[in-house]
Amino acid sequence: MIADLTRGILESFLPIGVVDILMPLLGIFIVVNVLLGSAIMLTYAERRLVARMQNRIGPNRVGPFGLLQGAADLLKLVTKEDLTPRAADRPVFLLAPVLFFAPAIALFAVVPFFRGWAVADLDAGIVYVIAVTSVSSLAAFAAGWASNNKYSLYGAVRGVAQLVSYEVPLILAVTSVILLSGSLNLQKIVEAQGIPFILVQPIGFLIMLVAVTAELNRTPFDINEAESEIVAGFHTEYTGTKFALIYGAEYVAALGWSAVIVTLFLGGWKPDIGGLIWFGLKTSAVVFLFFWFRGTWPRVRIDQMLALAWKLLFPLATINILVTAAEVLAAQALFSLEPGEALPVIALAVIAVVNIGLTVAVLALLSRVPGLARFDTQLAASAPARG
Amino acid sequence: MALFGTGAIKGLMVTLGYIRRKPFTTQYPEEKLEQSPRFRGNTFVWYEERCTGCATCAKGCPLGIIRIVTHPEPHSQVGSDYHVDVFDIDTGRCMFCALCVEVCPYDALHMGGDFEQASYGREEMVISVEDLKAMPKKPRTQFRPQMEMIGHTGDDELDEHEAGRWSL
Repeated sequence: MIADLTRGILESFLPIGVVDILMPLLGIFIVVNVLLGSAIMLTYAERRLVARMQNRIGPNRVGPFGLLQGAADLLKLVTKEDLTPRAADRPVFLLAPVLFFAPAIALFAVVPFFRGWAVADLDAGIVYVIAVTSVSSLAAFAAGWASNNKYSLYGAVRGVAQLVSYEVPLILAVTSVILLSGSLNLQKIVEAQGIPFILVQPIGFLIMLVAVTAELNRTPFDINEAESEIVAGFHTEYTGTKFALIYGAEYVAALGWSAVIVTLFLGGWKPDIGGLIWFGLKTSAVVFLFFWFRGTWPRVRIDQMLALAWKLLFPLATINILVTAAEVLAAQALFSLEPGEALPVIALAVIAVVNIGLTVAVLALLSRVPGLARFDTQLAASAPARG
Repeated sequence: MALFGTGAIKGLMVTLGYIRRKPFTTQYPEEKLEQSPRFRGNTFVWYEERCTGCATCAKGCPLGIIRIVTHPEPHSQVGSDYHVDVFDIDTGRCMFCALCVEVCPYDALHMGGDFEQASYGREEMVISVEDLKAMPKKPRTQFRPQMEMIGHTGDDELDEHEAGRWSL
């Protein structure tokens, strides 16, 4: 396709060795620039959407419909004075925003955009995703610690508590997908989805969605930035370009995690027509979900956040893995498959029906738990009242 | 039997419904909200013909920001033997209590409806007698609601015969 065409053009005037090096670099260049551009547009999109949810208009002054707001914000931030607090640990303070931004971009290295194409088609792709995104929590802590500000430190400590808690159910939810697809390679996981795994793994999807919301520090789990409690959390002391990096990284990470969710649960680039359109649409839908959550729910308390992770998501994810493993074993015995071989669509359909039934049963059971039922009612009542 | 999560979804549906509604925002410089008849802006409407130069407004002002200087000029205006030379109202210190309007025995002073009087210095916020004469005669009905009985909403011009509790 386009890649082959570009390759052909380059090979017409360059030696093949150089082209081999140039092609991945070109891919990285395109992906990174598209990402940065979409991160800027996402800040605008979120502000407009959340504004409409709050009966406001949102930014509409810069450019037509305010479309240039992101660019204007970026320009403003870049031209601002670059302050470093006197008491800050300077090297770490300067390093933290870069360390925060890099993993968000690096996440996209393994995301399969088309059939058979990712910037780096790693065999252990999903392990890479989890490993790389853990770095950003370290960066957030480094930023909070190096700022030498009590609010930064509060934010950093909260962030670490949150990320340590939510990494566990997140990885367990991912594991259930790995069990089904029999591969760590994101490309193979997409190919294994005869039926999108959201139907086969509804509980896994829900756990993943909640855990990723926490991982991204987005409302209702934005307790480590909590602007109404601790100024701006770990990035209180950051201004100008450094703040732009942190702010942008959050949106790039939101995009990246949405792409991972799409890859794992929503069938990635399937149906394989129209190139990037389906993948883009699905990713946008998941990003919209995060914006929607922000427009609706209030911030949870830190004890609610920890209780949700350890008392609900963790046991649920563990049970989910056991059930999925049993189902996969049964399917393998029935269809006499080798371990690691992708399940046929009929097996997936049966598992989907069973799991959807189980999900409904579990949700019905959970609504009987008084604490959870109260939490749920609070989420319903928290939405801004009709007025 | 309700499922766990229905509350969360109920909350989400509320905000989703809001997206389709018209925002309440008023785009200020382009759109302006209608003011109520008794709105107090930061201008004043003064009827020279009704004023006798008695300076009751200056005495009634709790902040003492109205300065009036007059000189005798027999039969210069209706019902008055004095000519008003200076009528300075320092709106930079005014608290818009409209007590000057309430005490005026001849209903010569009224609150105006304009609220776009921003300036770069406090000196520029003093309304002089020339400014007062030039102001559009659109009195608001704060403390003089009798003007509403002739259908005045504060948006149309009233001449000196109509502005007040009785006509001249």
